Amino acid sequence: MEQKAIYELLAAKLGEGALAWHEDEVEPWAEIAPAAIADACAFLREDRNTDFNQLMCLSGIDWDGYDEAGKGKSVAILGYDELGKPEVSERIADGDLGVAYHLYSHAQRHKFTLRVRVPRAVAEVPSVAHVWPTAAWHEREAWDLVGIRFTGHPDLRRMLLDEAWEGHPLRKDYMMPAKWAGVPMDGRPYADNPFPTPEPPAGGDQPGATGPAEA
Amino acid sequence: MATGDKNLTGWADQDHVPGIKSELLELNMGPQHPATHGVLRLLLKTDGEIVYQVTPVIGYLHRCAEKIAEGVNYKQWVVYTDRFDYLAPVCCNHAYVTAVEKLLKPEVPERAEHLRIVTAELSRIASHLIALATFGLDMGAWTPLLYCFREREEILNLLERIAGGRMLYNYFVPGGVRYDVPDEQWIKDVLSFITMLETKKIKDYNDLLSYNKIFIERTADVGVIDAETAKAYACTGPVLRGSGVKFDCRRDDPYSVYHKFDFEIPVGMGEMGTVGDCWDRYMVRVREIEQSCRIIRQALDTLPEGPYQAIPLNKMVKVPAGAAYSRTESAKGEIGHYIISDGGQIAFRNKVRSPSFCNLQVVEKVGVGQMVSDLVALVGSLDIVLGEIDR
Amino acid sequence: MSRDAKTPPAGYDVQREHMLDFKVDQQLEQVVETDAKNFILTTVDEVFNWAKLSSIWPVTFGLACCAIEMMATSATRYDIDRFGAGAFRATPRQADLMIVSGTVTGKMAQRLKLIYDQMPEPKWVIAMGSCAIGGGPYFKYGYHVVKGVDQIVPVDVYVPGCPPRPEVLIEGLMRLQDKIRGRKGRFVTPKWVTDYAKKIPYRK
Ligand code: SF4
Repeated sequence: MEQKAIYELLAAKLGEGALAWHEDEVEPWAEIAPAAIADACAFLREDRNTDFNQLMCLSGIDWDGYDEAGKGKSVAILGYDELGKPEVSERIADGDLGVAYHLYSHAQRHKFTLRVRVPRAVAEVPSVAHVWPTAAWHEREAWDLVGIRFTGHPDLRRMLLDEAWEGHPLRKDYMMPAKWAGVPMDGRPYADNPFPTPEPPAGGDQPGATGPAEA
Repeated sequence: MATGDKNLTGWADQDHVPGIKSELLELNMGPQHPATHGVLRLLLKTDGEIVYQVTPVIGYLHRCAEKIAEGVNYKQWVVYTDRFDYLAPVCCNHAYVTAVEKLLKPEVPERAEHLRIVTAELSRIASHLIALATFGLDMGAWTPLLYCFREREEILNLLERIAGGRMLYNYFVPGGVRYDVPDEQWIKDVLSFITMLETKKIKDYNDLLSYNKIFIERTADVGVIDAETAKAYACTGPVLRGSGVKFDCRRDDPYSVYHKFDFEIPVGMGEMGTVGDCWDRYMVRVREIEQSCRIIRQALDTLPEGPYQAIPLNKMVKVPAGAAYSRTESAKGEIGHYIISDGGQIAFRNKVRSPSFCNLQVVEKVGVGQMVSDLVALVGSLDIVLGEIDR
Repeated sequence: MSRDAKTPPAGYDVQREHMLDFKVDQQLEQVVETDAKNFILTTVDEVFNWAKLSSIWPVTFGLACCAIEMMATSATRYDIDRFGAGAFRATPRQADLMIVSGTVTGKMAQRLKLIYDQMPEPKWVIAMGSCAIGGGPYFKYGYHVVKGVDQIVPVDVYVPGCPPRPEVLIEGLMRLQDKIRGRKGRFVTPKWVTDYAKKIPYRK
């Protein structure tokens, strides 16, 4: 099925929930209202014409500081400086968060992309874990790293980081930790901890080791 | 024998022995455990030997690669894709560069595509060899490991001669590959190696392990993943094919120049037990080695002359704004990269969908009702690699 | 640049190096020879050290990519068993060497310390790979990566590389054996090697 036709089917089903169809991109995608995403996914999964039985990928995205002009001037992320100290910034992030869904159908052999966007203050998206079981872990990962709360998820815990970790690292304003649960996470410059450099012995290292004859 | 179909829901509430209160035993497997292939941790609840609940706990190797992608430029990040699936690093490069090339749209030279396929398939063979070796090790067979590593060393030598590294190569660049074939002898060596593999070595593995009575007893009918479960959990690669689903990105969603080559897709047929048991998944890998050999031979026989890079190495790449998702077939399954570009030299967001991450999730469902020792077989036959799960 | 630049020059005293390594063995021979006269010509320490260094048992502790090279070192072709360190133990209580092969993350650091504490004395640690030495490629943005395992446990030998080749790991093991032997020597790259390295034409 053509992607455009799939979108039209979806728009007819969702009505208000289908916001826009972005045709002239490298990969066309449909923009869906956050409240309608679970319905949209369930429809695409169940309908015989679309039959999207596989969720290939679910990605959480922090759109904060994205350069809409396409000039590559997005906000730079923070890291550790060369001495290993965390960089700090005063900037207050206010961009939206988003989720992208990539679907595939084994029977029909077509793909489809959905995206939702939610404001940073109320980062809540309905879960699709009941539609595809594989979404459960992807959503836990998105909650862990980007901080999007999936409502209706059976078990929304952190996936990769520890439950006691602070912050969501893939947010653009995330500042690197210096220490976590007693484990030092910052780098240590070698200047602070000088190892005595061994003096090379006078007259070469080994008796007679003067290098090969020039070829 | 497995008791996969036994319904254990509500076990703890039942009164098993009248008058005696019983509880489930909590068992912690990992993260430092010889049979979990790295730093995987499984939290088990068992009733004696029978597993009642499995909860994988991952993240012990979370190396922040997706954050790094937002800080280093497109060419530098190829280094980190190597370190996802460090058993088949070239396959991971492939997924990433195809995603970048979807946005960048360079004219990738035909010769580069052929070299990519040859190295990726060699890498896939190396990864499958490790899979056989470690699976054998989990099942208590030490000797196959020595055989598999012997052949793997040969592959590493061949790849070292073309790419310069022993294990992690950083060989692909957007728009081509880094180095050309060193000399004609290399091609001859690859061909003679795969001939040797096809004619002699695979028979060795089959004699040593595949048709070994003890091995079959340990793996047949164990950890059965049926086709519906595999699809629902988005399993890919040998795990999906082991369940009898004939699906391979290289053929069904072709990328690079795989459409030019002729190869088969082995699927599990339940020869030793049920379709989708551990033995099937294992055997799919053995048969894929043969198919990879076929692809390599065809790709080298038709290796075209010409350039091998579309973009000079010392030139920065600026990727036009947009988003692209690309998936390729790595040794473990389908690896996908979702790249969002803002038009600069650094990706805005780079999400990696790793095959092991999705394949491992099925343990939560299939592991229930198994013996603890069969769980080791199940996890071993999934052939996970933690660098890719935790990223 | 000719091929024979790789062979050691004439004056390089291989024999002498060899003898140094086997000093202790020689002394043991003396023990045997003089045994009949109840006359021992060594110290108990040296015998103990010789015993320790000849059978180092590492704990099976693979973390990341470097672990695969550690496996390769113990498998066919490289076979670390030749140096007495082939008996990989799954439990730390039977091991005396921990090869930290890979990236140490925040979550893993606590486990690593626990495993180190469980090992009986005497125990040694080899930091294998640039990740274990100092964070490696994950230094700048690695919010979950410990920048060097020496912040957690004391390290005896650092083996650089990403990943280090098996030969380098074996070299590191031999340096550890030197250390156990109590030899004060340090490894200085012979001059002919550095000279040779300068002449290698790197690909641009
Ligand atoms: S040093 Fe390199 S090869 Fe070793 S664990 Fe780190 S990234 Fe992997």
